[in-house]
Amino acid sequence: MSVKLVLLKVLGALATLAFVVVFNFFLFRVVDSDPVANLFRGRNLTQEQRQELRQQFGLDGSKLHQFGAYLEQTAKLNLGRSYISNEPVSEEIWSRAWPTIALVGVSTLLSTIFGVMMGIAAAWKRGSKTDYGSTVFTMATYSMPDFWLGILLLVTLGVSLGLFPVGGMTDPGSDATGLALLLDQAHHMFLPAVTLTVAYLGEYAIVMRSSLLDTMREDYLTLARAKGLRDIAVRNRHAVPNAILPVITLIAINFGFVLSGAIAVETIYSWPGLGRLTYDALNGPDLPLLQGLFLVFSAAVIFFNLVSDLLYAYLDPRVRTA
Amino acid sequence: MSTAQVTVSGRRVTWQRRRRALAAAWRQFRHSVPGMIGLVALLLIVAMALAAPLLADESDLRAINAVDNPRWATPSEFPPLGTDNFGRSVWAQFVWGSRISLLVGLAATAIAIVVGAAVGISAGFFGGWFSAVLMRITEWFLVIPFLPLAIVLAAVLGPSVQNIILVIGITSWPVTARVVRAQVLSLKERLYVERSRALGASSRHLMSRHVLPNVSPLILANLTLTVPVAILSETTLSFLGLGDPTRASLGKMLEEAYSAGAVTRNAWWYYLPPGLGVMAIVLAFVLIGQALEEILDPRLKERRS
Amino acid sequence: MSGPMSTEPFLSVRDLTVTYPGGVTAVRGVSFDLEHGETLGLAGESGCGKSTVAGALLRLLPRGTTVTGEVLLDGEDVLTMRPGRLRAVRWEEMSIVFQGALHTLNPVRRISWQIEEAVITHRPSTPRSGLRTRTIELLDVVGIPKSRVDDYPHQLSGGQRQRVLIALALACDPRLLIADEPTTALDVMVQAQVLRLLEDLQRDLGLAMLFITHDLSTLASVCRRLAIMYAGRFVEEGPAHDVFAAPTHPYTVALAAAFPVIGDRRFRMAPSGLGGDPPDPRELPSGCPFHPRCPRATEECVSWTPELLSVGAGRRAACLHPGGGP
Repeated sequence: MSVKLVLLKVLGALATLAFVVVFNFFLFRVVDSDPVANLFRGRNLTQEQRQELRQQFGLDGSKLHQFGAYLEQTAKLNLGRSYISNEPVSEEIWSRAWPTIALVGVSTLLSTIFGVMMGIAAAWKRGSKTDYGSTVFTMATYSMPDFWLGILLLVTLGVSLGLFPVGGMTDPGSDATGLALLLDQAHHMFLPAVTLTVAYLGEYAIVMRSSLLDTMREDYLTLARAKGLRDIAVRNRHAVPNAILPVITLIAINFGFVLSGAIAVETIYSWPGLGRLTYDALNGPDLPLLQGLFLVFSAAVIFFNLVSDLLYAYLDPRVRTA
Repeated sequence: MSTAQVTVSGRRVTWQRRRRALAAAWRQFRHSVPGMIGLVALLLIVAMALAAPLLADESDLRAINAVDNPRWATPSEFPPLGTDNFGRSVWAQFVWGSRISLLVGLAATAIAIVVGAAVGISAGFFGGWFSAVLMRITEWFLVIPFLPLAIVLAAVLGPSVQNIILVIGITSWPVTARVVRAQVLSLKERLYVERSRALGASSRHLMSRHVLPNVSPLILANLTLTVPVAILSETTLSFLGLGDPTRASLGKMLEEAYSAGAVTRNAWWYYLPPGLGVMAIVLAFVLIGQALEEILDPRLKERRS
Repeated sequence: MSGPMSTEPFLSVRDLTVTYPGGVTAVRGVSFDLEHGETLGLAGESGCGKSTVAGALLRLLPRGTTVTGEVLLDGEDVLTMRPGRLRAVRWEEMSIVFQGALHTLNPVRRISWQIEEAVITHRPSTPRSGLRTRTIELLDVVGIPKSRVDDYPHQLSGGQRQRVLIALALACDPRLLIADEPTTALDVMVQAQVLRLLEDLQRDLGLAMLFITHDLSTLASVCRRLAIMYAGRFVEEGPAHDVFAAPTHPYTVALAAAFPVIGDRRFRMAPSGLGGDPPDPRELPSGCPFHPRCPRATEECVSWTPELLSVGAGRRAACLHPGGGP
């Protein structure tokens, strides 16, 4: 895999990101033609004060001028100030990023493991009850809204049985540190993580199953059997390594998407991540925050698409040594 | 035989052929158990949606009219599905909400399919830089994560049924475009070798008379699989508060249930039915869609079973 | 299981019948013996069942396939072996060389890994260094240089892949090698190389070999005995040279007549002057399945159940009108 190829892919990703940045600007300018009015709602300002504020925020001048200012600020990672909290958007996003990454990370790990296992079992024993059961399961989980599943889990395990907390990331008022804190957080993460895991498990199972079924037709499996290998060894040492390549790229791509896909689930569980932040921003509407979040979410998708692309090129020896 | 007669019988032959192909496809569909289950379910759901005025009074949806009703009544206290925190009939909300959800899902899909098919067909047909530009735009749309884009658009355009339909339609067309374009590309090989261009047919004629009918089955299958996505999207957007506040939808029911505290009260009659309703509609379309796909591409059938 | 050469044949196949899950009977009562170190060629058009015979010997046919008869390897019936015994016998006693298409080898594993896997499966106590030495040695025997030992299959040419498959088949010192169309997908020059390699190996290692092909011209030098298959049955068998020089079954006659001059390469075995196509295994003609295409067919042939009849020293043919000439 040549350096030139890698560079090309990276440049492509940056180009897409550039488009998103531009799009972001125009999208929000359509909405918010007078951010100053919005920002200082409910306060009586004179015309001069307004004009001065506009100047401060770089909102005077032509659209082109504003666009230039926007580009310059974005490059410096200055995403404006939140209407609601008046804190810099970048700081708001940064402080809430880690809970989301942790939640999505854990869920992705679990849904991948279980989804792949289910897909392998379903494909290897095609037509059996295992296969049928897995199809029913994936169809059911696909057709339910993920936050509705969250509500159900919340009600049964959280409210009725009281096994798990119903919101937040830590117990309010607790000042635990270190391991105790981590355990508390894990306790709080359990339900949202299970919700997201179940929601995305089906997709991995379907792709793995499909990929393995294709692989199962190949001649090298017959050769592996002829060599005297056990059935399980044929499956795990020959079939799965080939079949899992598309799944791995899917995982990487999905990670980028799920970061923003967890908005509803985070809301249900009051999980203090980017999703919940988006929901709160919606109720403003806190437009600079929304604008910043949109940029971050899109950047995440673009980044992980790139990662997935490069990963596949590296993992498949046919591409790597081309 | 005059040329006019020749043209007519030519077209008749084509239609006869198409009708026979349709009949054969229907026969095949009838054999698919999941497909038939989906179809029956869908017919029941549509029937319920159309019969909404008969099943529940629309005025029951207004909180004003529900002042005399008990609050948070269970289904046994207030059949058939109890009441919410305002005393409104949950059953009425469910029936009318399903109607809206179905409507939004179908309308948004219609937009997505029309735009997607148009882009896909023209990109596949014309090729060259035109296609390259279109596909670049399509790819770009696919990279933007759905929920943030939908949220932003919904926030920009304001909450109303039409806007939600528009938002979902705008974010869903790229998948259709990609699938249709691939199909058109493979069709193009066949068509050009066969005829028409040599006979001087215009591009428009080719596209409407030849490409479109051949791509239609694929578009239909894609449609039945896009509706679930649209409905799930509507549910999520409504839940997040971006839906039309004046109309009930299944997603809105969930939003109101959640914010009214149905969770802590365990008012299952309020949060369970809407979710089940969404599941039912989505499953119906998925089952039909899979059966259609198998008819189109028999290889899928042996892979799935 | 290495005893002195006994009087019993090494491989004895009795009345092998194979029916695929769809109901198609591809092999109908095939019987033959193979001595230690002997080479038997199996020739026939596509669809005659020869590759199915190969698959049946190692029980590699798809799930749901019905296999009846006996496959006696040194007296033990492969068809009734328990799974553990079967796995031990596979590759150690009998191995198979498939056609070297791109996906016959696992595309994401190095060829050295694939050979080492065969060795370690049957000799688990082999040390790492021993595995490595053995792999290099095997590949060297087939003419793959040490520098290519860690390549991936897609990095090799068709001919090289075929040779890797041969090296792989020899990994556990089998006593029987089944070669299923080993040269079919290769160019002329490469074919000749691979054939020569197989001949040399067979001679040097004393391997018994079952050589399956649709191309008669390759069997002349490699095999001592020859069997011709048609519609799932043997229609002629005997010493290779004799069968070529004086074919008795009309099908063999047609094939022999199409026998190309040495050096002249014909890819498809399209017997000259023989009209029609091989029969559909689901709808065989009555009596002798060859009768619709046979120049010597008579009324009797339409109702005669074919069986192999002696037509000379060590030779048999399933025909009511055997004899030389068309």
